[in-house]
Amino acid sequence: MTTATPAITEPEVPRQPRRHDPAQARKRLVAKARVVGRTALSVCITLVGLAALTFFIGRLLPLDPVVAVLGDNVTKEAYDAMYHQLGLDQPLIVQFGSYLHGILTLDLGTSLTTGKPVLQDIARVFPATLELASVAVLIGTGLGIPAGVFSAMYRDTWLDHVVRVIGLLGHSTPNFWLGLMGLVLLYGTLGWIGGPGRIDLAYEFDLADGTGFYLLDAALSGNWDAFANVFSHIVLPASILGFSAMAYISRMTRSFMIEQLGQEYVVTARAKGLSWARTVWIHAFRNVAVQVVTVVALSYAFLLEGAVLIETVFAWPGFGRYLTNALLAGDMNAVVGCTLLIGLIFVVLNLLCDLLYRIVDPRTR
Amino acid sequence: MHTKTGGVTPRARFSEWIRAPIPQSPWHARVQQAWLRWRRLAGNPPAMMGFCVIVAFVLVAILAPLLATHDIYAQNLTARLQPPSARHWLGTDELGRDVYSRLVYGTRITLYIVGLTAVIVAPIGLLAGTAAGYFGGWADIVIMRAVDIFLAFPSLILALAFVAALGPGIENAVVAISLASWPPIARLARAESLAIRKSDFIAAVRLQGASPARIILGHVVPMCLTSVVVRVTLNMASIILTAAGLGFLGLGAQPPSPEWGAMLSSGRQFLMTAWWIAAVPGCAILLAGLAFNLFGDGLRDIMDPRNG
Amino acid sequence: MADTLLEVEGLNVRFESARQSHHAVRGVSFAIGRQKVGIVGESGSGKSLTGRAIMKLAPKAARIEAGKINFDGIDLLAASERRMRAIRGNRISMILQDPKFSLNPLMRIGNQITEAYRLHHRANAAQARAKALQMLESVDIRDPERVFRQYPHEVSGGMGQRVMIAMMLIPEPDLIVADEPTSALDATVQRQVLRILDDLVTRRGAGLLFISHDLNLVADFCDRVLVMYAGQILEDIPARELRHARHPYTRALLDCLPRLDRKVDTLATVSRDPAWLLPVQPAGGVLA
Repeated sequence: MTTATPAITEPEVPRQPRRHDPAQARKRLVAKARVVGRTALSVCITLVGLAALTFFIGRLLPLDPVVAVLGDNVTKEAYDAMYHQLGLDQPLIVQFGSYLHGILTLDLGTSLTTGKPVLQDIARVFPATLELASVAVLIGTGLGIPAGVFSAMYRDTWLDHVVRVIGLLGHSTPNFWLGLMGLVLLYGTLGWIGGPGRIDLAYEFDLADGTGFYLLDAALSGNWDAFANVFSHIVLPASILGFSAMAYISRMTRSFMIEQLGQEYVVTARAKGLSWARTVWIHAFRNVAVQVVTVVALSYAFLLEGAVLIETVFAWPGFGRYLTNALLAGDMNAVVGCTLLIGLIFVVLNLLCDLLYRIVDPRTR
Repeated sequence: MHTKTGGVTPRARFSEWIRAPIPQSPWHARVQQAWLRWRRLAGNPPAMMGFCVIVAFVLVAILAPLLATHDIYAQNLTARLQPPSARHWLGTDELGRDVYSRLVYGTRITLYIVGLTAVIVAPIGLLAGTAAGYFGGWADIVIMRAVDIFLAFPSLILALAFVAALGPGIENAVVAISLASWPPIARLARAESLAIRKSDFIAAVRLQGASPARIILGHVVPMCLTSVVVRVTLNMASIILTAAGLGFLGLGAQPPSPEWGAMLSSGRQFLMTAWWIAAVPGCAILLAGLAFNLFGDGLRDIMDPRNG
Repeated sequence: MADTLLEVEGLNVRFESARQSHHAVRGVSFAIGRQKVGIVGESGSGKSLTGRAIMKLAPKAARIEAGKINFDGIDLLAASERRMRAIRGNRISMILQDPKFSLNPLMRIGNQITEAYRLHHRANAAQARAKALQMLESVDIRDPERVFRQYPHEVSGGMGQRVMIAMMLIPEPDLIVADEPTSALDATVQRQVLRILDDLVTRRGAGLLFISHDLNLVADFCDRVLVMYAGQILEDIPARELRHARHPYTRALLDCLPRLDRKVDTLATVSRDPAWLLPVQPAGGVLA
């Protein structure tokens, strides 16, 4: 070893603690505010675009909206009056403006089929879908995350292949068909589960004045018979939705974990003497936890899409069935309102996930 | 390899030609590359299975008149809701029509929808994405904002909304599904063209005086083509599912058309007694979706040089 | 020469895939005492793999076979995973190349070090913290409290590597495998880190297996040099006798090194003799 190494030290960070420099702090704050402002502007533009798209869809209708309200046999005066009342004689921009205004004041129009404000209808039916989606996400996450992690750990073994096949099936199977087959088998033939609908009529009154989340209501009021009944109805649709959620979650978790397990710090952890299991969960999985949470949140949004068809199959009185009924009845206010709401949920969820990334990853702070 | 008379068999000649280390012409090089890719695909059993199933579906669609056993529109109310038998291989539906024959003809409708959607979505997505990526600036902002807005909706719901506005029917269903499917392609094309636009060969062509249209169409698009093709193939599975979903809700092909989703919907009423009416089309949908997924995965593996 | 700490005989590592088999390490044999031994080789020579195979940390696809891998009387080849866990980090430690990648980016430095300590010693959080701070000081980090709280991306490369050394030496191992520990660092920082490593190794009387591609560095730093090429050890020679190396590959490597006292018109490069790929007789010392 050569002697007399020059005493060159690398530029280390100064030893004093960071003094509270007001100028620096202010600059940082301004930079952060700029980022927040830009993001907010971007989101607003997207939301306006969402509204524009749904407005456009609403106006695409070959069906005459006046006729939709008044019916076919109508005098010219009544037609003109309604035409004016609906604001259809205004220029398109003004109509869009009043549409936007309606959204901001939470007025999505009135439903043709129920006669009530669309927003009120949605508020009424949403808990059913939310409950279904929540149970489905629980199933999907509870099965999907371990499946993805183990699949990555034991890559290219039979376990990995099984998980990937299940994932592939979950991705390719029409869930509404699976619902039908499930009903035939488990309800029609074996009688193991409850049939279509959320709950049997006998119990419906008991839970009428609750939160709208039947499982919760039944548990809170200690009515375990009702709970069992609700459970028997929700288990199949939630499992089917959970199956497709699980396919997505396990696939994403697997690819995140494979990426992490190829990193050098995993070798370091094992070189320290850590067991394989602890390395995977304490080091690798912790590093993907945020990404996994994002995936779970997004799968919530996808489940809303899956719920549309599942609710039709299971006569589930939720958001999806409301949308399809409105669709078949040509109730454009309701259709547009529902579509807009889903778009909104997606955008907000994406935003929250982005924020989560920024907060949790210390490298972006 | 030499024939008894001393000549070289055509097979041997081809084998030699295809394995030549130095290709004689661009055409030769392209054929060699395609053959190599085919060999890699062949070494991937699931992908080959998917490919074979797809080919089988195409053949069934083409040969439908030969394969069907009955007239798909002929109603026979005395033979309704019959279980599978020797006469009706997959039973009869609620109007006495042969389920098997309707399934066979339904293949045509499914392939029509999928094919038409792919043909619409790929060019639009490619052009929008490459334009956004190549030109940057306002084009990029506007196009990507539009893509974001479309992507904010789940594809089924967007398709539903469009079909609600346009009215039911198979063409409207195709339009609706296309409108919901083009954004991911555009985004992919944009990402690829962003990477390409800085390359030296693009600069060289520009210096030679090529117009933007020529650059995009002649140079950028071919580079994006493989990943777009892979993505479109993978998307076909979800297009099939969306189309079936629309059919299930009665918004796709209208009765008496033998579309699989519509068959499922009518089978639903008789679920407990004549479950095969619903079971069979669902299996077909599942098989088709599976095949495209497997084949798409295999395509991705052979196209991506990193996975070699 | 100290008595033997690690004895490796006939180590073979193969990568088997469906279509081909790659023989990455071919019949490697050597013995290390409490001294600094360097393994020098180009990329793909199998030197990193040798180090990892000893600790059974080779990639999953690797098949490891050997006549003997003995560490201080323990048969590593036959050792169970549980036994290996007790040995790894505790009696044999490994220092990796680039702290940007080899430290967990989302975990504070202090936590990573205390984890290394608490794996092999009973200690509560406070004791582990004290030990970690002490260790950080011994690797010349001047504000250990601060670094303890920081994340790996917040420190420079040299400091990160010193953290790595601290982390791996905290349980006081008998043998250290250093896999290109300075390759990711600038020249001035390299010397500094090596000085610290040398200090700690000599003070504890530990053995060091120094894996590198830098012949100059290894010749300077180590007591003994093993030259690897295409998975085999071609030369095993004390560092001070490197000038007298006999294998043509080693000579060629030495000839490539530019020297201030010898002017040349063109720098030499190594022209590879395919004879070097042939299997080598399993005897220690010089082979040609």
